[in-house]
Amino acid sequence: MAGAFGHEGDRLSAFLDDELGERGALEVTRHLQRCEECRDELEELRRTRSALRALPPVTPSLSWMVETAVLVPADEGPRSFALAAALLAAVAALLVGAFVLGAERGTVRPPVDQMVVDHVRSVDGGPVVTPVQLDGGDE
Amino acid sequence: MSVVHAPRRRVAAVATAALLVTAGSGAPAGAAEASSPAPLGSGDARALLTAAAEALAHPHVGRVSVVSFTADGPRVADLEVRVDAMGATELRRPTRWLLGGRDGAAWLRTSDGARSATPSAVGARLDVDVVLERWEARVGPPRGLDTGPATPVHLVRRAGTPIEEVVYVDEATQLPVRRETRGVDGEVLRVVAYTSVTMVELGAPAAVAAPTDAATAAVDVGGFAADGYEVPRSLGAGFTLLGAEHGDGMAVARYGDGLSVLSVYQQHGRLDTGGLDDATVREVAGRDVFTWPGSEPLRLVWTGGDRTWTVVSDAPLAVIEDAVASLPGDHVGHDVPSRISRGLARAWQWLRGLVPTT
Repeated sequence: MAGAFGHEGDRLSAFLDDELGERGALEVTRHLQRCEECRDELEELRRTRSALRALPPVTPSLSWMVETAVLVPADEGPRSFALAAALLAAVAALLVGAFVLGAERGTVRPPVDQMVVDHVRSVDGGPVVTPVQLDGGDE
Repeated sequence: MSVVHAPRRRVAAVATAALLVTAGSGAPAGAAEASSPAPLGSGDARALLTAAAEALAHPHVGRVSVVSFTADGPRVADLEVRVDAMGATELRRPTRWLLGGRDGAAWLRTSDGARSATPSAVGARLDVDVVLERWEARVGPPRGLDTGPATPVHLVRRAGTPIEEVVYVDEATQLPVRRETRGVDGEVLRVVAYTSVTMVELGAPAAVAAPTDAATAAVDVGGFAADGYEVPRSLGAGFTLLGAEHGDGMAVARYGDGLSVLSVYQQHGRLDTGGLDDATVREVAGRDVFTWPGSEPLRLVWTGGDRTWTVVSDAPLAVIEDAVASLPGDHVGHDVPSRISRGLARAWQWLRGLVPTT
């Protein structure tokens, strides 16, 4: 079927991809025999596709992969998401490990209660009334 | 059950605190505010304090309320105090003993059981000369307290933070029956007051010698240095050494400013912070100190110079901070970023140790 103005514009791409049926391909071929404008358009389309196929392959950057993994649902980028999750888990594990490793590793636990008793005994009621709240407040 | 009673106890604590505070600042106190205590000279203060020091050696029994004010509200403890003919003090709550001593042994009974304690050989007594040297004293007009009329002696610390303490000397017994500790802005930090007191006539009072400068000079601190302990003869805020003793991996030095006693305990090794979950960390003179706000007496624990330091004192926190500033202290950093940073540094050191140096 020809286009709105009698040309085959929309069907030329499908013609190149061999996606038209036998009847459609015959119609386009007949039209191209008598229409110079569509022949030129078909040639232009063919050159563009050849140029695209000649481009080198592109490797995505790490930041693009992380960003895509975060923004794109899992079912659209499972590999990127897994990589990002692994990275985040590694950072979290590093921080947790550093937190544990950074604890003050002393060995002395002063018997504070005993010291309070010792102190109160040493004060022994003086010099003036001894303030003492052993065993908490108003229990 | 505690949930049901907790608000009731809190209301009772607030009411008791209010009563005790206003007891010392009621009508007579109001009159004192209108006409501030006449500075009668240190001679009158000396006479009152000397009489109080002598009265403290007499056997007596009484009930004491201790009120300290914290951000969480007042904390109140009611204690029974008994001073026997030998000058030994026992403290107990109405239902159970807290601190007692018999046959040379001392013990503390708390909610989690009884603990024994070795009585200290170093004591502290009201030393009037030291008080008047380190505190500016003035005498106020008598006031009516629960125990009867008493004369207040206003004391303002000469060195360090200008904390004011007011000691009320009972007219009948000469005992110091009330002690108010005020902050730099005049706010009440703590009240310790007898609500009743009775002198016990058992003959002559115990002869207890007050520590003197000569006694202080006799303390041999050289032996402490040989064992790796540090015992300075004086601390900040006018605290001087009363005595010291050591043994069982620990040394204790006792300091006094005439009114308060400060006990400094040292143990070799760094502090294990694992058991201090209920403590609060604050920075004091560039070091991280664990403390328990509102506890009486106050307790401070920290690491300094590969030793663990514990200070117990009835002095206000600001004064204790002035006093301990000259002692060793490490800034350890117990917050999350500090711990992570320290952990990364340790891991880096460990990794560097694995790499052979050429």
